[in-house]
Amino acid sequence: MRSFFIVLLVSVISLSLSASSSKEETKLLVEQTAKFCKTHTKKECFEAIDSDRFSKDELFIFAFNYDGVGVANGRIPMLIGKDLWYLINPDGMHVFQEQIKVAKQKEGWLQYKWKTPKGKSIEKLSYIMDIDGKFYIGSGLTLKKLEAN
Amino acid sequence: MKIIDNLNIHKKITLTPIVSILFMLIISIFSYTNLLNEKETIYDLVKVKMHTVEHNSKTTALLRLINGNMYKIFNLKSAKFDTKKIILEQETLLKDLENYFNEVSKCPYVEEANKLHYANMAKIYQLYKKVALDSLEIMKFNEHVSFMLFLGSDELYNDIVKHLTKSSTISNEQSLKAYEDSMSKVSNAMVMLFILMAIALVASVALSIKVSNSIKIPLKNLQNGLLDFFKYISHEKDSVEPIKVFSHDEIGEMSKIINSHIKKTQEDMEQDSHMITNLISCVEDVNNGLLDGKIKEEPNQKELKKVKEIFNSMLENLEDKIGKDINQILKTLDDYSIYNYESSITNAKGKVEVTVNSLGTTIQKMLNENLNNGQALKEKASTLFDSVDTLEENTTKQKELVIESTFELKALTDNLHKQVVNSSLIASHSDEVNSSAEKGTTFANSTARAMDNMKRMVDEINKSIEIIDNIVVQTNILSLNASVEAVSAGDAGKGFSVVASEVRNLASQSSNASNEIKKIVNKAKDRADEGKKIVQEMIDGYKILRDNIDSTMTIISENTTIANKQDKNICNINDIVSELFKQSSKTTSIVSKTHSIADETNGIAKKIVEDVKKLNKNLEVSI
Repeated sequence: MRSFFIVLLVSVISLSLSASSSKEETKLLVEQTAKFCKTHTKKECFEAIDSDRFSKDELFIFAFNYDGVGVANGRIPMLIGKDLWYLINPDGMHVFQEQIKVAKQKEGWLQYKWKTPKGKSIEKLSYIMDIDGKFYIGSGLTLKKLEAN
Repeated sequence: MKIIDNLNIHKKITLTPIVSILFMLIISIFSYTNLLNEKETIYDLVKVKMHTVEHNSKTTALLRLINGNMYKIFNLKSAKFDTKKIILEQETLLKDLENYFNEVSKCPYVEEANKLHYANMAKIYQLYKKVALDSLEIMKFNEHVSFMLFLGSDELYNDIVKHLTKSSTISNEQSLKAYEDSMSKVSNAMVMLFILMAIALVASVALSIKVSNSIKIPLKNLQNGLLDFFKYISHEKDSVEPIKVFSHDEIGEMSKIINSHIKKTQEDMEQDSHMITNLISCVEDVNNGLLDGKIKEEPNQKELKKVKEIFNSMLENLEDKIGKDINQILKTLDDYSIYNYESSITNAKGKVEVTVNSLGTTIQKMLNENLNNGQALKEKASTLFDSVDTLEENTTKQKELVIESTFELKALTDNLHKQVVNSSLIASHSDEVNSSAEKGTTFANSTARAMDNMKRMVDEINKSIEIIDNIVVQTNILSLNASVEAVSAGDAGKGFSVVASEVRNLASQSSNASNEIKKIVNKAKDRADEGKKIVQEMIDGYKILRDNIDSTMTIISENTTIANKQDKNICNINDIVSELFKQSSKTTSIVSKTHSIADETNGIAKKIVEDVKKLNKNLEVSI
C-alpha cells in the first residue's frame, strides 16, 4: 500500500516536474484505449487497462460501468468493484453520474473538483468515452497544470 | 295467536323457552361474530401496528448509529486515530441491519401497504451498505474520496428515513382507521345487540304472557265453572252456566267434557227435584191425614228411586192398615170419646177403619151387657149387704165364745202343772232305788272278779302240777335208762341201779302227790265256779231290778214330758185363743169395713145401672 502511495507520489511529482499532459494527449490516450477495447474482448480490454499499458505521465485510464461501479483502473485498482455512483465532490457534484451522462453522449469533456489523498483540492478535466453502451473509459488531467500553463 | 290457543299445554309451555333460546342463540352468534371481528382488529392493532412501530424505530436507531459511526470513523481517521476496531464494529452493524431487514421482510405482521416500503428500504439499504463498505475500503487509499463517497450516500440514508417515516405514517393511519372502524363496529354491534335484546325481551315477554294467558284464563274459567257446578250440586246456587271454551287444548277438551257432565247432572237434578217436590206434597198430605197419595215422578238417583219405592209401599201399607183418611178415623174416635157411638167410618177398607167401626159396635154390645151386669151386681150387692150383717152378728158371738174358752183353758193348765210336780217327786224316789241297786251290782261284780282271780290261781296251780308231772315222767324215763345202763355196766353199775330204783320210787311218789294236789285243786276250782254262778245270778237279779226301775223312770219322765208338752200345747192353745180373740176383733173391724164396702158397692152398682141405663137410652135413640 505504502509503496503504492510512493509510486503515486513519485508519478505526481514527476508529472508536475515533467512536461504536463495536455488535453490532446488525454483525448488521444482515451481514444487509443477505446480503439483497443473495441477491437478486443472486454476481458482483454480490462486487463490491458489494469496493466496501465495505456498511460502517459500522470494520465491513466479508468473504466466504470453505467452503474458507477469501477470495472478497470490503470493506477487505482482498489476502485475496481467500488460503487461511486453516489460520490459527491466538494462542489456537491455527483462526479460519476455526470461522467455517465457524458459517456451516454459517446464522448466528451468533464471538469470537476477533486481531492488528493493529502486533502488538497484540485480541478480535474477528464475525457470520457463510451465503449459498448455498458461501460465507459476515461482519463483526467489536473487543471492546476493548466492554470499554471 | 289463535294457533297458540289451539296448541296443547306441553307445546305451549315449551314454546316460550324455545323462542327465548332461539333469540339467545341469535344474540350469541351475533355477539360471537362481532367479538371475533373485534379480536382480529385488536390483533391487527396490537401485533401488526406495534410490530411496525417497533421495526421502524429499531431500523431508525440502527441506521442513525451506523451513520453516526461513519462520521465518527472519518473524524478519527483525520485525527489519525486507530480506526480498525470501530470499522470492524461498523461492518458488524451494517451486517446486523441487513439481517434485520431480512427478518422484517419475512415477518408475517408486516402490512401489505408497508411491505413495498420495506422491500424498497431493503434495496436502498443494500446500496447504502455497499457504499458504506466501499467508502471504508476506499478510505485506505484516499480518505477524502472515501468521505466524498460517503457524503453521497446521505441521499440513500434520507431515502430510507423517508420510507421509514412513510411506513410509520401509514401504520399510524391504518391503526387509527382500524381503531375507528373497530369502535364504530363495536358501537354498531352494541346498537344491534340492544335492538336484538329488546326484540327478544319483548317477544319473550309477549309470548310468555300470551302463553300463560292461554293457560291461565281457560283454567280460571274451568275453575269458576267447576266451583259454580259444585255450588249447584250442593244447592248453593239454583242454576249453572256451561264453561266457556276458548281453545282446543287439554283444558278446552276438559271443559267440554265437564260441560256435558254439567248438562246431564242438571237434568238429573231437576228430575230429582221434581220427585222431591212430589214427595214433599205427599208427606204434607200424610201430615194432613190423607194416606191415599202416591209419588208419580220418576227420580234419577238410585237412592231416591228406592225412597220412592219405600215411600209408595209405606203409603200403600198405611192405606191398607189404617185407611184413606186419618181425619175421619179421628173424628169417629172423638165421637166415641164423647160417648157418641152412633158415629162410624164410611167406605171403611183399612184395617184400623174396620176395627174402629167394629169397636163402635162392640162398645154398643158391651154397654148392653154392662147394663145387664150392673143390674145383676145391684142385686148381688144387696145380698152381700145382708150377708155382711149376718156375719157381723156371728163374729160377735164367736168373740164371746172365745173369751169363755180362755177361762176354761186356764183351769186346765193349772191342773196339769200339779200333775207334773207329782211325777217329778216319783222320779226322785226311783232314782234313790236305782242307786242302791247300782251299789249291789258293784259289790257283786267285785265278788265275781275275786272268783275269777281264784280260778286263775287254780289254773296256774294246775300248770305247776303239769310241770311236776312232766318232771316225774322224765325222772321215770331217766331212772329206767339208768337202770338199763346199770345192767349193761354189770357189776360196776349195781350201785347205780339202786340209786335208779330209788329215783323211780321218788318219781312215783311225786306223781301220786301231784295227783292228790290236782284233785284238791279241781275241787277248789269247782267251788269257785259255783260261787261265780251265784254271783252271776245276783248280778242278773240286780240288772233286772235296774231295768225295771229304768222303765218306771222312763214312764215317769215320759209322763212328765207329755205333761210338759200338754202344758206347752195348752199354752199354745191359749196363745191361739188370744190370737183368735185378736183376729175376731180384727174380723169385726173388717166386717164393719166390708159393711161399708158393701154399702159403697151397692151405691156403685146402682150408679152403673143408672149410667148404663142412661147410655142405653142414648143407644136406643141412636140405634
